[in-house]
Amino acid sequence: MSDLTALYHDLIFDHSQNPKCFRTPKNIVQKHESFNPLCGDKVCLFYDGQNYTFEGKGCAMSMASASLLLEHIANHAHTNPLTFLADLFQMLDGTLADDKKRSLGKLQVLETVKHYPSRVKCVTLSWHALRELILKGGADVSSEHSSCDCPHP
Amino acid sequence: MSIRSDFPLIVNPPYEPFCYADNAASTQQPRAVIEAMQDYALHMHANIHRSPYRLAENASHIYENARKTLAMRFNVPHQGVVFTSGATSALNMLAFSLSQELKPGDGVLLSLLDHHSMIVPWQEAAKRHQLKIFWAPYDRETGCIDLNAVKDIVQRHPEIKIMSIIAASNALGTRQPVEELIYLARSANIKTIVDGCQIGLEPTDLQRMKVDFWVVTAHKMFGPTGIGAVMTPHEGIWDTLPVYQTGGGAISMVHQNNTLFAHGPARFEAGTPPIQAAYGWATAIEYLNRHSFYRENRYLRQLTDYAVEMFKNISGYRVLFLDSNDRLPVFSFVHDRIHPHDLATYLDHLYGIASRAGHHCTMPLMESLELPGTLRLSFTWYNTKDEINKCVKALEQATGFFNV
Repeated sequence: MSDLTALYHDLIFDHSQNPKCFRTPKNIVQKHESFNPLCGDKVCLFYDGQNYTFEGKGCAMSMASASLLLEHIANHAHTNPLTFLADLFQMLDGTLADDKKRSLGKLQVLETVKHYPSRVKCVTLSWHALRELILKGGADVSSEHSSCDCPHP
Repeated sequence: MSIRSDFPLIVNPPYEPFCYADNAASTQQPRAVIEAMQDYALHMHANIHRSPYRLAENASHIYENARKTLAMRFNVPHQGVVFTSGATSALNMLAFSLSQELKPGDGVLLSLLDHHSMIVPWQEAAKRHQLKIFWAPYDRETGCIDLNAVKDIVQRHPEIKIMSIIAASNALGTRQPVEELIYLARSANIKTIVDGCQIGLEPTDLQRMKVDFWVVTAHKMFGPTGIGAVMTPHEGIWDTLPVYQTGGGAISMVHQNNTLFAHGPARFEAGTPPIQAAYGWATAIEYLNRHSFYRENRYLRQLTDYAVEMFKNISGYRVLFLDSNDRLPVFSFVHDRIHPHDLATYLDHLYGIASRAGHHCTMPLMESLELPGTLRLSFTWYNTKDEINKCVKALEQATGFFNV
């Protein structure tokens, strides 16, 4: 029981049931949708020029991970999100130094997923989406439909 | 039930507690199959159909005997069996080959219940040859293909030349009216392909059914992975079909300017085939043949009925098409507040229940049900009522764990 409660920590329940930054912005500057073909989960990341938000449908792990990530980015507005992402992937590889790990704050709760290989893709779904969104750099999607077709969780 | 003790992984599980309920994905192997595969590797392995020494001649004999064993089980001629690397490769082979004989505008009828391995090869073939794809709908009460709707589609679209259907839904467990569909197709001069993987354990008479092509895979009938087959009662049909993969084994003569292809099933068996797996599969079929299907089927029917009764009363879950009259012990669960993947991890780590979560390679079906996926529990000969009770208890307690 203890192992699984480490994966399904209270923070995971909190963030999956009441996700932070969960909205489609009025003015979308960039967006990227990621899809997990193994389970059908979807997450759509948005950038409105100031904030990152998301919408999507998926398991508790994928929704909580996206919520924790975007909350962390919102609380560290002066740090490049790609830095966090690199640290997060290293955390799952087991190669992240302890001091850097501590700087990830609540996101550390996601480290447990490395013991559940079949669930790693759930947690990293939004991480890949954010990386793609940033690396695509300034794609103007204003001509696209302004809201993601992902239903609410 | 004595049969359970024949399966080493079931009686000596890799961890405890353990309940294997993912048989729709793959069944476990009886000891006889495991020992046969090992015996082959220890004493019998050589490449087949070429080398003129006794070991290789014996390997060829083993491989062709496996073909005969499978043919007898499904009542087709020995030469009516083509071995493939699995059901997916078999379905790709059929779509590739049969589509080359179609002309632009011809139609293929698929079912919304079909597995991706049936759907996608035909979508790709449709792109290559400008074919039209038609979809057979299913009855929303029974989870079975709607025969009247199919009849209507076939009557209105004489351009349909192929009907490709699944014998039983791997996602829902509902058995399909295969014989009626084959009859309907034959009367409209439509060739039929049936994905029979989910009912591979059942003796099936393909001559009587008059199906054109029937696809099975070994690892869903107590055999090994890496081998499947296309079977047909029409001996000689292979020689009339365009070749698929080419190379050694599939040829008769190769010249600088042209190649003559082999006759019979060899035409579709390019390269060194899975000889050891064929031997293992034949052993699995002999194992099936040794058991009274009547007794095992009656047991499975009782187990299915028991599961239906038990699953009816679990609060908070919807079990898709639970009341379907003719179903396999394959059950898809949906909970409004708990995602199937979370449920599957919970069942595994707290109860040792091996389940499957997701769309089960049936995304068009899931889209039609407006679901991202389901949790699937699937049982077979070696499962017990006690295991079903454990599943019920685990599912009921999930709401407490997930605090919903």
